[in-house]
Amino acid sequence: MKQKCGLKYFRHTYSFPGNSPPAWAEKTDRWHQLDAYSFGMIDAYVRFQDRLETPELILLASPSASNDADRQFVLSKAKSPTKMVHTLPNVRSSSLVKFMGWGGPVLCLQKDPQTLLTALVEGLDFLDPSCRNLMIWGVVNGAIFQEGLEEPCPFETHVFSLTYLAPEENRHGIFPYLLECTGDDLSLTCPKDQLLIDWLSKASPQEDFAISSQVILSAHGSLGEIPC
Amino acid sequence: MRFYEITGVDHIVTSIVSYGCISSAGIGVKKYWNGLLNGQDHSRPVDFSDWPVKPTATPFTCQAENRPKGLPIQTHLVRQLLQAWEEARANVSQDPAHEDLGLIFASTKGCIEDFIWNPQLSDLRLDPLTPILKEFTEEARIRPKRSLCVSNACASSHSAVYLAHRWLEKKSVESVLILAADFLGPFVVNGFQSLKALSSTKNRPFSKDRDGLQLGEAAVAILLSRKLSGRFLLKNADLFNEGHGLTRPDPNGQGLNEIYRSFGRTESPHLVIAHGTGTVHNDLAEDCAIATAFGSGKQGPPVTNTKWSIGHTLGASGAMDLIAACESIKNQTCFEMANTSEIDPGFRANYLTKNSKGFFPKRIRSVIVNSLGFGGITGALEIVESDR
Repeated sequence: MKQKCGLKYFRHTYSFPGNSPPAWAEKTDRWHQLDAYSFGMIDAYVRFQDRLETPELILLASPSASNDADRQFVLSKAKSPTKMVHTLPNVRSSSLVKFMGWGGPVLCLQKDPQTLLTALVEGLDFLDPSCRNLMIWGVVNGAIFQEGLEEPCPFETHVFSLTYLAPEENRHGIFPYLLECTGDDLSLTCPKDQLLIDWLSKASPQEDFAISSQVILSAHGSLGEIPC
Repeated sequence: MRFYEITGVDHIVTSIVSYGCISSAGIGVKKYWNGLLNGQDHSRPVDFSDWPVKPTATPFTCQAENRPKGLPIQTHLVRQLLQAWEEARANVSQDPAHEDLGLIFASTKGCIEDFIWNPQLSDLRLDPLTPILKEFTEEARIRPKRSLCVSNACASSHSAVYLAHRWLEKKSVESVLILAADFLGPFVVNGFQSLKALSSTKNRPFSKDRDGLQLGEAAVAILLSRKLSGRFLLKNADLFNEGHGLTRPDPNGQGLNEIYRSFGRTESPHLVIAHGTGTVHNDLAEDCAIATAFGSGKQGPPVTNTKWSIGHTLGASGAMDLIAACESIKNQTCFEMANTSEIDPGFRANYLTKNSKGFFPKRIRSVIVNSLGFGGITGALEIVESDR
């Protein structure tokens, strides 16, 4: 596989539950019944939608799956239907898709601790002239991801917008990052998602980021314009 | 030789090379298939004596086999998957080369019951599917070129097939092994009971008095290849998230209709294996989609399903239905929904209910397999008989 794509990355940090209704509350059904993950995806979409391409496919990368929601259901003595409906990781995409007014394939992937990394490689592989744009969404409970469970929980929504670039296409300046595969070896060498997030958090990374020996992420455009 | 090389077209068709399964019917495809043909409902009352939370009423489920006491669910599922893989391997002349193999594990909840009742923090950080994928690759001694887990609710198997089809189309691997499994424990059973989705009697898909689903267990292995091999081809596989609701599909079956359109069909399939959970809303949506796309009444293709026999096997259900589709083509016969006597009078599609053997299709060369899941996900596969 020899392939490259332009990449935009956005990060949205929020606390859940919040203190007041979100600005988009009236645009969605029963916003107060959304779980932290569904809430964070819509909240991030509202913030970044002007900079996102309309996707032909959505990959839902779900680090830690729905373990958070599963635990909440167990704590309800396994009786609460409103908690039960969130115990499948793909369900969090439903409210976003409806909010976007979009329909199409959504694929929910997992491979912890490399779920986001795997989704990036899969996303790159999906792109071709018939699938020019796709999104990868991942929501992480920061407390689970890093330190421990605390209340209220800090969450992060990670949004990746991938755009197909033909081999001869030179639109590097438009995209802050380029994701490129130079061969057939897709086996991940980066051991965990957190290293990717750390690299993406840098204002101006000096070195490229190796996802595998042949899948490389590099910084190009003005990162300052992208709200991370 | 590749299919596209033979036909000269650029539409690559994936071969379904072999498969194996374990279900409540027993070990092996033959027991599953015979159960469908003979109208066997494998449901029985659940033994929940050692569950941390008891169900409010005794549910009937279709459990695959008793798990040895104390055996982690992760290992239990891996052992079942290894048995299913052994059955699939027995039908291939040569194992797929590791360097050209992709591996996908499809499940809704994986081994969640192993830790969710009393978790350590480290348990909560990691998804409950990947440990099964890793243990399987170790035990089966395979080194896939690429591998991952898919959890798209009850359309997980369809999602795995969709992804595998894409990998093969892109020529990044030569073969893909799809594994699918789910386990029934207190988390899953209490969960569906909390949603009031379980039947209190028998699962009766599309019937006028249907009252919910019956849960089941299965472990499945399906080997797909880019090489033209065997009798079954995966002609189409697609997904569509309609975003209608968290637990209910669009009543007009929007997602399935979008997928059928994407298949670009001009003729009806010879058979439809419906998802048919036996819930009010699923069956309504599916009936609308099938009748709209393929025709009403006797003009439409015969529609049947498997859940009345082996239960709703969740993330594995699409894989079990894919096997039933291949067996229907192989044996040139199909099966009726033995628990369903009277179809909902509002429904339009052409259902094979109890005692409708006389309406079985004369020739089965193409089968559509549906799937619908929570979160608005829908999927469909088109399986056809190879010309060779």
